[in-house]
Formats: sequence, structure tokens, C-alpha cells
Amino acid sequence: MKLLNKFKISLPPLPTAPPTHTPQRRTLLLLTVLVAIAVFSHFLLGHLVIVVYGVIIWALKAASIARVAAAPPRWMVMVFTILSFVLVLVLYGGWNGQRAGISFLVLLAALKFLESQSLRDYYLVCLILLFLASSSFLFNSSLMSIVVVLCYTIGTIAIMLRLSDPSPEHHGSALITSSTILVKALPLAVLLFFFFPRIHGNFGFIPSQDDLRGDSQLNDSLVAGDFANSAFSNEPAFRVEFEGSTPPKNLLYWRAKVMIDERNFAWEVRRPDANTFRTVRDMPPRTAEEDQLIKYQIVHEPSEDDFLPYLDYAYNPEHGMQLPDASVFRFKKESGLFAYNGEASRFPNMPEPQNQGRLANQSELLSTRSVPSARVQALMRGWRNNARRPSDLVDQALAYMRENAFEYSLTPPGLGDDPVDEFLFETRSGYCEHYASTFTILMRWLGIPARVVVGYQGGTQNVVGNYLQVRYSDAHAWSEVWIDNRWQRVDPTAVSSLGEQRISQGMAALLALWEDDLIDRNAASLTDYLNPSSYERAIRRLRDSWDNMGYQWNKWVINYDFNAQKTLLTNLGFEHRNSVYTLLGLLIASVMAMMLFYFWQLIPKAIKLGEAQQTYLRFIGRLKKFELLKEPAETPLEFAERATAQLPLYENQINEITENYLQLRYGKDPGSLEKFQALVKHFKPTSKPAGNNSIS
Amino acid sequence: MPANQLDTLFEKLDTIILGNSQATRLAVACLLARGHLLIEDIPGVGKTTLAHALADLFGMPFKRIQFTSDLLPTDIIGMTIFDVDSKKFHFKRGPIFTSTLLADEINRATPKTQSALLQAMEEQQVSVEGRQVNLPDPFFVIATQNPLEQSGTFPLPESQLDRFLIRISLGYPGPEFEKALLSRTARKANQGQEPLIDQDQLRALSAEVDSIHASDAIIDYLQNLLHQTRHSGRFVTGLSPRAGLQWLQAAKAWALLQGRDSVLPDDIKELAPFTACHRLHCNDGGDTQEQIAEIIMQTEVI
Repeated sequence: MKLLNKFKISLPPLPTAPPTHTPQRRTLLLLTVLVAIAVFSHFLLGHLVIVVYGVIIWALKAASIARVAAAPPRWMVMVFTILSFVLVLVLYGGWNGQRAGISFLVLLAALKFLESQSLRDYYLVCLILLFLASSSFLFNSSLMSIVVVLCYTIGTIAIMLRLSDPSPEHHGSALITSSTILVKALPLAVLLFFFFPRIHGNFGFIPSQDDLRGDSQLNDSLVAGDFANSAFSNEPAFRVEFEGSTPPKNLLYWRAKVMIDERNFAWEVRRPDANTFRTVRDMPPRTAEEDQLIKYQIVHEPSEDDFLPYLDYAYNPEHGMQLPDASVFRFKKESGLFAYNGEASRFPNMPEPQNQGRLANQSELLSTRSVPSARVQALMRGWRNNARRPSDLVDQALAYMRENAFEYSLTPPGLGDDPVDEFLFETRSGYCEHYASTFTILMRWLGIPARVVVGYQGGTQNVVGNYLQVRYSDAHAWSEVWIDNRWQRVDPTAVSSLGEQRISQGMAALLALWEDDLIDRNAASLTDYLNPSSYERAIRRLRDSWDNMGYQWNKWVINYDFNAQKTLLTNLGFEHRNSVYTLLGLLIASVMAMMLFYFWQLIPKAIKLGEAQQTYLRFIGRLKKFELLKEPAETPLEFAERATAQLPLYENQINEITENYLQLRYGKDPGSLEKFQALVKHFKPTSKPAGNNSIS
Repeated sequence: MPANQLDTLFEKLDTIILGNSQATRLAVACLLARGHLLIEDIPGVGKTTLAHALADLFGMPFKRIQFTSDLLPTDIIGMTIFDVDSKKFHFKRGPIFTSTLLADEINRATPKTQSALLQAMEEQQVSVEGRQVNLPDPFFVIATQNPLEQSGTFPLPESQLDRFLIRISLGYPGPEFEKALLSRTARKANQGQEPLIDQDQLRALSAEVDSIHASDAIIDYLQNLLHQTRHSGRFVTGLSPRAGLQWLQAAKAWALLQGRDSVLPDDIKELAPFTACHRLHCNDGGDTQEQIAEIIMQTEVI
């Protein structure tokens, strides 16, 4: 306290008793709105019954506030509480899982709000709301959600400020104050973000069973019709940044899953078993020349898929384990989005030495569930007669499709009992699944080992962020055939009409085309798409900018995990484990520094001295050598009195200067500053008396 | 010139109240600032003499009320009585209808009576049967109270002490002055002084007080001091804005008495014990004068 007085800082007096004033009705109504936002937005996460129940509790309280009615009786709140327990237990089957926890928290907020009567209760409601706001990050940490949560937090703090202040005239600035509080906390948040020791892995929360989302993955089975639906899903799957320029679209085959088991035109992924892993362990590492590799980094959206997309063919994938069929399998699923680096061969058909050129499971790769119809057999016989090498068979099959005007369509006619026959001779229209499926079965009938590969093809280049965005609509299926002791990629879709554009321009171009006119697919609109008007280009650029913002946020903020922090710390010189303590020390020190900074701001700034004051200080300075120092609280008159008593020789000068100064600073008519300055300038007291007055 | 008039006034006053020129000047400053004076002292040090002298020298009618516990508000303000001759009610003015009122031992009266006086002081008017009756202008109350004798008194609450612009105490005169006082033959000699300043001149002087310049610098200084009384934790409650206004008003009157046209920090400082202290209560029961002095010592001024 003494110290504070010394610095002339006065802290507001501490309240002797907690405030007990009744909260303003307006504030309560605003709080009602905040609680409503919390309860209603639970629609996005929680069970519908929980939300409806929460809304009922909220509505009761809202009505009682609106009509200024009394709080509900205790027993009623009790019944509501017990019912909440039961509901959460029944609907989620227990307490484990984030959803159950957050649902309960939402109900808790509503219940506490219902029974609130005193200030303290309402504070508690606000605290629960703040906790709820932060818990939303468990589900969504996009840039947008940050903004929303920030706004919500500012609102909640403003309500707390309004609650604590009984005088409504201060309420207008509550929002500003709460924003200021958050801004002041920002440096600390940044510091903690970078340096607070991060936990390896997933936060320790068990993702609830109900968290498994089916929409964010490629299916493990390929049934005709699947991709047609996903084609309209505009959700991003992942984003890729290449080292160097992005390869041409027709090389961008993102390989995810390999399917070898066929059943009636449907394909299935075989999940790796212990045997597979043993084989993987014995596989020699695949090597390639550095300059033959395309390097890239993928930031993948949250996904439940076990298989990771890599550019065909992947070399030594960083994340996951490469299986014998060259797909990449991950054992541990990240809860949020994740990033990994990839390398692919620059030459798509590069020989792939595997098991010394033998196929371990040749019989599986040749097996089919159906037999070719007479027409198909005749067709194949023709191809066989003309083929000298297995690769000729592939060419002839592709040539057949090209010559017979096969068409790429997302809305093909349905296929009957013998889909291969009908597709080859009658409908001649389909999308990648039809082509890949038919082609693979044909190859197997012809005695060439073949398999279906599912992944993504192409993507949209974001011109703002210079990265490739791959959406679920870019999902694609193609074939691989075993010829000349290596797997070769064959994409039969590419030979169909429009299929070629699908591959070379990307799905987005095709969708834009269809969007214009689903029936009349003239090439003009495709040209329009590829050569957009300036307006269209601006719109696209805007869209790209928005997506880029999200991407950069994901890449730099969300993706800053344990490993990224470790890299950063190592780069900063904190290599050892026990340097964590040094780091914590530094953290505490910086927090202290920040507090000091804010404390410093509390200290009233020195009064800016005017020219008159500065001149007067010069005058005082001249008297220093006579050990005449002006006390801070001494008025100029008092000081002049003391000075003249000690230096009677200069009495007139001192008095004149003081008078002039007082006139300048306190007088009605300030007088002349120049005159005062001149007086001070000529005031040069010496320790010896001046000549004409001297005694000697 | 007013300066000359004031000089002769003080000369005269100093011959009446011996050796207490500061108290007399403060009393005059209080009168010029249109405030009311509280004299806190033991009996017999010249309170009445001072009040009388002021009234006489300024040519103002003077009345005195000795406050007792059975004094009623009507004893001060007056009452409505029925006149049998004219068969009409008519208001008989009480002693408060005067320009100088000495309220002797104000703390002896009941709060009800006290507040009747204090309301009149604040508003310069009294209510009679729901009617507002103006009091003369100038209206100057000099109240006294005995700080030692506490039995049977009703100490003035802070809110009412706040109505007094200046509080002084006269104290014992110095030895020479007391000798001079004792050797004086006729006590009556002091009474019935010729007025030196008439009421119009007094009003002009009061107007002059209002026109004394208070610069931004002086306002800053005063506000700083007020802030300190509120937030230093020394006092139960800090000085009110009204106290601040009165402090400044008193300082202006003081500056006028010094022959200046603007307030200096010295004026503020000098008047602190007389304008601030009676409005404050120390947290630890200590001496308000000391605490105020400490605050002034810690407040920078240049």
C-alpha cells in the first residue's frame, strides 16, 4: 500500500462484502439469449431428446424472467435434475464420451439457469457457458468456429460485467471492456499455444462410439451407384501442397484402396491381417532416385478411413504402413485433421519390383463370380485372335470402348442380371465404377491378373494458396493389370466420351458442365468453364481465398501438435526433456512480464510539462548548487520564500521569476512566456555575491 | 478600492480580536464566499466578539440564538399567530431573519431544530406553512460548538457539517495579546462599531470572489487532492464534490484577500485544514488534520 501511494497509484477499494444487488432485468434477458444459443446450438451435436428437454427447461426460466415471476419450487428443479441424469444415461449409454459429457453440461447450464435467484447463481451460469464455449473445440476447430466462440465469450463476459455492476449507466461499455480483457489475454494465449507442453496423441479423451461418422470416408466396398452420390458432395477430403509445380491433372491419381474381391459387379476391400503385416515386414524398402520423386504434403480433413490417399505410386509413406498392394494403412486414427508428407514416382508406369516379379495370390486376382455371356465370349475371342502380347488385349478392350462411343454419365441406366454384358452391349453409359469394374472383370476373364483401385483423381487448384484441393466429389475408381511382371494403371473411364474431360479437367469442370444443363451436354459450356469471364473468375478467386484461409488455419494452427512443437523447441535450443522446466520458468517469467506491463499502464503517466514548467524547472535547477531543492509538494511561493531566505542577494530576481511563473501557470492573464524565459536565462546565481553588492 | 477597505477592515478587526488575524481573515473569507462559519472552541475565547465585530463592521443586523435542548424550530424561524385585533393570522418572524446569525452551541439543540437551521443555511430561505420565505441577503451564520463538553449534546452529523464552508477555532490569545486584553478598560468599547463596508459593497466583494480565476492547473491540483481523500484509504468516506466546490470557493475568497486575481496552490493548501477536515473522518480514529497534511505533502505541485 505504501509503495502504491509512493507511485500515486490508487487501487479501487476492495468490497467489504460480496455484492448482493438484484441483477437488472435487461441483463437477465440478455443472459437468457446466451443460454438459448447454447441450448439450441446443441442441435448440431446432441441427441434430439436432450435438446428438446433443454429447450423446455430454458423456456420455463425465460417465461419466469419475462413475466418477473418467482423461481420454480425446489422439488421441481430436483425432478428436472434427476430426469437429466436418467436421460443422459439412457440416451448415451453412460458417461464415457464427449457427447454425453457436453449434453450433460448443456442441461446443467439450463438447470442452473432455471434455479438461479441470486447474483452468484447467475455468475455460475456464465461460467458454465464459458466452459461450454470452449468445449465446442472438441468437435470443431475451424477458423469460423473460433470467431463464433470468441463472440460468444465476449458476450458472456460482458454479461458478467453487467451483473457485477449495479449501475446501468456503465452497461454500455461492458462489451468494450470484455473485448479489451480478451485482447489483453491474447499475448498470453499465443505464448501458451506455442510453448505449453503438448500431450502426445489424443488429449486423453475417448472418442465416443457415437462419434464415428460414416460420411467422411470412401466406402470399403464399391457398389455401382456409390460414387454418383458422393460426386455431389462438395466436402473437402484433403488439400495438397506440392514441392514445385503441381503435376498435370491426368497424373493425379490419389490411390487409397485396392479391391480384389469381386461379387456380382461389386468389389470389396480386404482388410489387412497378421499375415499381411508379416509380408510387409519382409518386403525390401522401395528405393528411387531423388530427382524422380514428386514430393508433397497432405493436410487431411478429419476422417475415419483406415486407408490414406497417396499419389500413385507412393514411396516410403511417412504416415501409415504400406501394404503389399501398395495401399497405405494407418493403425491409429487421429481425432481431428492430420498432415503427412508423401513421395511419388514421377513416372506413373515405373516398374514395380515386388516379390521378385511373382504374384503370390495370382488365383485370387483371376477369380470371377460370373461367367461371360456368349456375346462377351465372342468379343473376347476376337481380341485374343488379334493379340500377340497381353498388353494388346488391354489396348483392344480400350479401343472397343472408344470406338463404340461409351459415355461417361452420373445418371446411367440401371444394369440387370448380367451387368458386364449389358454395359458392354446395351447401356454403354456409366461412370468410373462401371468402367473399372467391367474392365477388371474382362481382364480376369482374359487371364490377366487385375484389380480395382479406389481413390481420388485430380482436384481443384487453389490459385490463391497455390495448393490442390481434393473433394469427395473427386473420388474415382480405376483398374490395375499385372503385365510384364508389374502392375500397370489402366483407367478405362478415360476412353469414354466426357470421361476424358473428367480426367484431364477434373470433376469440378464436369459438374459445372452438368449443372448448366444435365441433358444437353454441349462442349461450349465446358469451354466456358475453362475460360471463365472476369466476373466468374473473381467469384472463384473469392471462393479460393476463403478456402485458403481455412487451409492456412488448419495447416499452421490446428496442425501444430506435439511433433510440431517438438521441432520448434528443438530449433529454439530446448532439446532435452528436462529443459521443459526451463521452458516453464520462461513461461512464468513472461506471464510476470506481461502482468508488470499492465501494471505499468495503471501508473498515471507523468504530466506532460508545458514550456513554462520546463523553464521553471531550469530555474530550480540553477539553485541546486546551493542545496536548494524544491520538494514535490512545495508550492512555487513557498519555495521562493525559502530560496530568498537563503539567498537574500537574489531576492528580487527569485521573486520576479516566481511571480512571472505563477502568472503564466495560474494567472488569469498568462503574460509573456518569452519574458519569463529571458528572466530565467539571465538568472545565473553564483556562490559568491555579485560584484556591485560585494563586501570585499 | 476594496483592497484599501479590506485593509482598514482588518486593521480594525485586529484591534478587536487580538492576536488571531488568521482566524479573523478566514471568517471574512467565509463571509465573502457566501459560506457559513463554524467555530469550534471552548467558551470565552471571543467567539461572540468576533461575530459581533463582523456584523458591525459590515453594517449587518445581528441576532444571536443560544441553542438549548428545548429549543424548537419555531423559536428560530418564527411562527404564525392569530392577531385578535385584526382577526387575522400573521407570521411573526423569528430571529433567523437577519443578516448575521450567531447560533451559539448549536450541538445543544435537538436534531430537528438543528436541521431547521441547516436547511435555512443551505437554501437561504425557510418554509412557513408551506410557503417559501426568503432570508435576507447576505445571510451569514456563525455557529459555535464546544468540542469538550459532550454530555447532553447532539453532535452534528457529517452531512450537516458539510454545510459549513469553514471551520476555525480561535484558541487562547498569546501572552502579550492577553495582557493587552486584560489591560483594556471597557469591554463595551468593542461594541457598536461604525460600519466600514456596507452591504452593497459586501455583495460586490462576493461577486468579485466568483470572478477570481482558477486555472486548469489549479483545478488539476485540487482534483488530485480530492481523489486522494477518496482512494487513499485514510478516511471513512472521501470529500464530496460539493466539498470540492466549497474548498475552491474558499480558496478564491482567500486569494481575493491576498489581493490576487487568481487562485494559487498556496491558497488551496492554506485552506485545507479549515475547509476539508471537518467533513472527514479518519478510518483509524486519527487526526484528520494530520492525514490531510500528509496527503498534501504527497501531492506534487509545480
